[in-house]
Amino acid sequence: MPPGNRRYLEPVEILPRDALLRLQDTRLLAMIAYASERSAFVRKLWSAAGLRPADIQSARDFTQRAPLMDKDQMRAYREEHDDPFCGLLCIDPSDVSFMGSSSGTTGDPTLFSYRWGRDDGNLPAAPGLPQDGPSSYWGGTLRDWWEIGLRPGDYAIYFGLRMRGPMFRLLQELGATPVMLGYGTDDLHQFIDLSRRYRPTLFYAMTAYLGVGLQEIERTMGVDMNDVFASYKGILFAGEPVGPRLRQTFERWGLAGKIFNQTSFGDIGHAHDCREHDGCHAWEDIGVAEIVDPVTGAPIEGDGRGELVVTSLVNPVDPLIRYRGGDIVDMKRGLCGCGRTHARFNPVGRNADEVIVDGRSILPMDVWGAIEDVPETSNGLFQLVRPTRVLDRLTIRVGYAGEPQLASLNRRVADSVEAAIGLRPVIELVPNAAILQSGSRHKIPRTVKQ
Amino acid sequence: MNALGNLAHHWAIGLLRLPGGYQPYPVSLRDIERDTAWALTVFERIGIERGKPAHLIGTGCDNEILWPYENALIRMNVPFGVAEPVAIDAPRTDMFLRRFAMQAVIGLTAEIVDELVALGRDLGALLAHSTLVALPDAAPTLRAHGLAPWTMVPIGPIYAFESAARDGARYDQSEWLIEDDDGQLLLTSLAPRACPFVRLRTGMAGRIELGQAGDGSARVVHLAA
Repeated sequence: MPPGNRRYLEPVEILPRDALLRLQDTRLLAMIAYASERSAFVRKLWSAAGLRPADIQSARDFTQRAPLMDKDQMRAYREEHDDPFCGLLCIDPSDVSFMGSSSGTTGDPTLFSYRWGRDDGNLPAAPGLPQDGPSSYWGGTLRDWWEIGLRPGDYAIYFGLRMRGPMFRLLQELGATPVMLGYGTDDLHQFIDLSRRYRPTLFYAMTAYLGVGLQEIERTMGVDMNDVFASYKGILFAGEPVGPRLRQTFERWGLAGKIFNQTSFGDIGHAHDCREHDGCHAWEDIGVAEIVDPVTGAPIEGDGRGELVVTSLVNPVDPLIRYRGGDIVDMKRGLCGCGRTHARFNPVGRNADEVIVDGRSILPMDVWGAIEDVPETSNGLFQLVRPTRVLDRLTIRVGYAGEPQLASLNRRVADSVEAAIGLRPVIELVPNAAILQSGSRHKIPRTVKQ
Repeated sequence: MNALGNLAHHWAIGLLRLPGGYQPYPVSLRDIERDTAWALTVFERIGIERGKPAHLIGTGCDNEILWPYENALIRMNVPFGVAEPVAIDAPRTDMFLRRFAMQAVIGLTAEIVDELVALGRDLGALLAHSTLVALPDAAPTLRAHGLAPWTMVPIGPIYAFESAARDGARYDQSEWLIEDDDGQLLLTSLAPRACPFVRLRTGMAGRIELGQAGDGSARVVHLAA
């Protein structure tokens, strides 16, 4: 581990671009050979495309010729072959340590499997982090948390679910002590006390659910949130980004510049924004990051908006090769202000959350701020009603606080959304609790079928 | 500060949820290692076998309690899939149980069991081939479906385990002393743990049976009916 005053955890973060791309090419060709030999899914997909590993000699060959894969294909393989690993597993199943899984919002959850890097799981080693091996698919998270300012000896609040893996081990990998909390209301009161006692530097992971609870504690108990958050270098939002109004609240609590977004690096790892807040870093020594046209799948050269496509470079367990997960992103490849040379992207939304009304694309983020602008719905708890992707009219289910006059509120929310997007929506008002109960507490489903 | 920070002494800060209120407590690396050693003996007693998959249900806010059990499974080369113990996560448990021949399902809660039933699953068909280890609130439903679960009994920051024979729950007597007082179980740490407990009122109703049990345990826990 470098000295605490160093900005970068690993030298590869600032590797000159040409050297980084050479490293990526080397790892990519090795991964193609590895996955083609060991992954039944990849073999089948590439065989159907009439492609052999030897046909790929460069990253450019790869992005031009290699077939895309998606979750529907994985699930189809799983059913066809009765293989819970979707044909992706490249090691003996008995060598898997831990099986995490996806959220399951679009079907039966799919697996993310890990092999422990060391035999002794007590040591502060995260899964898949061999000391003498290449950076793992979770190694990027360590770099990002170091960039936020987490250092050995720090404490970090950990509101974490277990389905994707023991993320608290990553805090320990950096020498920090996790403070374990849950999603009960009383846990939020404990969070306040524990923040004052241990003065943590990182909060993982903030959600709209927790943000609503903290605002309520401030309102009803007069707690000084600037004091509570005085020691924090970073508040991480995971699962979904912070809404505009909640962001303002956290900024009022002294956290301007300290709000970070953790998003998926296309299911091969995580991506976070750095202290420049100019996009989430896609670590290109860990994965290949491309964008393609969401409809045709054609590669999009350079920067711009497109569907994120990723390829694992260092995952020996269940690598994804040109995987499209439905995330729409704005990609940037220039040097970041932090000095890092890797690509970065801003998540715009998910294909699965998009509705088309009057030929116009609407994503949850497009209406979020407008809903938060109305005082009774300022918690930003809403869902687009999406029985199908193409709709005659936009319907939004919106949560409200208190006991407002509903007809007036309905009109004001519709006015606010119409002013933002130029379409008048149908608003279905429900108490906040109804929205909060519709999903897990770390993430509200932003679209519902009915 | 060295690279490992305070982890030897403060491996994690946990939160005990007791009837009288919440109590934060530190856990040391030594505590985790001792608890892992205990977890290995539990799994050997249950009959967990190397190389065969298992399913472990538990909540992320109890990582400092659960990790020794996960750690033991890792050391035993037992691949395990995880899920949260709440109804909304029952489809994940359902997925694991449908897609794997799990040798054991550990941590079943009433919420999960009830939701599996609500999903239309036949508990007997889904669970009969696995060794079941259930929380006390789930055990009666499982028994009503003809299943014979072990029970894992939360007593403050630890678990005691009772076999399907229902002959009392065993706990790690090298680290802890459990007493009963007016029908409530009290917990005292005997070993040098990061957070000593002295007659902690756990809120769990039960009684202690003294004397040598068949397996050599001097004290076993019986939950209140």
